[in-house]
Amino acid sequence: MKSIKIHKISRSGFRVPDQYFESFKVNEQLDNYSTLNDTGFLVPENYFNNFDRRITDKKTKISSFSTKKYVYVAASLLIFILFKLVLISDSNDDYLENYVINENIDSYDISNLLSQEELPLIDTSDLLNEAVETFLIENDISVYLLNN
Amino acid sequence: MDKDTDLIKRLLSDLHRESAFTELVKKYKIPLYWHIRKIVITHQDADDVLQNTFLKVFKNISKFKGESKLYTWMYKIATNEALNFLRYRSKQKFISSEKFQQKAINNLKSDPYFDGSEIQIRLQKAINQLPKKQQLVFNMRYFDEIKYKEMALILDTSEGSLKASYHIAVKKIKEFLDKN
Repeated sequence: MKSIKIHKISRSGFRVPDQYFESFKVNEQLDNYSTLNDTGFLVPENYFNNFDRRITDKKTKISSFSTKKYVYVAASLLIFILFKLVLISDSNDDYLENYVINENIDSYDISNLLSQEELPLIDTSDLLNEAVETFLIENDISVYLLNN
Repeated sequence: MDKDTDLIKRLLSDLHRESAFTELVKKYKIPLYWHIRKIVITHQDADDVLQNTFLKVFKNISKFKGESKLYTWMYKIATNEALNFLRYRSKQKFISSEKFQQKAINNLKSDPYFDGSEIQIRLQKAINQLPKKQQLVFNMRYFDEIKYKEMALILDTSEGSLKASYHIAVKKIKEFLDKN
């Protein structure tokens, strides 16, 4: 018997009902719940009008955060974070690197390490706490930790 | 949303960046807010994430290569910010991000910024029981009617996979609503 070569089977044999794809709409499955396409969430009055001003203010504060201060705070924070991590490392040489890699540590975690009581140890007297927080949120500190 | 070429040019120029950013905020604050709000549920959290999103956009605009549309790039940032925010807040409370969202949904009845009915709360509960990717796909398709092609760019997934995710999500939501 002559064997059928697979490349000659161009059709799967599966069929769909007439007009199936033309009439297919997943949303129709939720037709009984037709009021649902509104979430019911509200925003405070004038929220969107005021948002422009608030974001501009915040952006200006960040822009005025000079490079020199930025580097200074970054260096202080890195030293502080390294110190904290080394303290908990239990003198294991590979611990720090493994901790950063395996624990999937991110800037949110690192900012979490710093308590309100400990932050004043860093001399940020002329800087806005907000800017420090923004630095931690915006930068992946784990890269610095691994490279240094 | 497609005609952002001029806006991008101005965002990349030192001279026009400020005014272009103001225009960018005006143009996208509402769609991005609602995208974020559906992920984080409460207004206060959505406001925090929206601000972080725009600040991130401002700081990283020079890295925008123009390979994708500006708004898909911003949606991507907003999505990541919202998911990171959930992860961060839930870690603070020693609970999973699903549990954190669930708590927010359970508080919707007393939320001054929610005027939905019981069935809308049930829908939020139904969405919350889905895996994160299906939640995102469902919200973006069902409420925002974002095209799969654009969603694929935002979520870095193929259109086929997104269609399948949406189909499964709708099925699960329907089952949940019928049962509860």
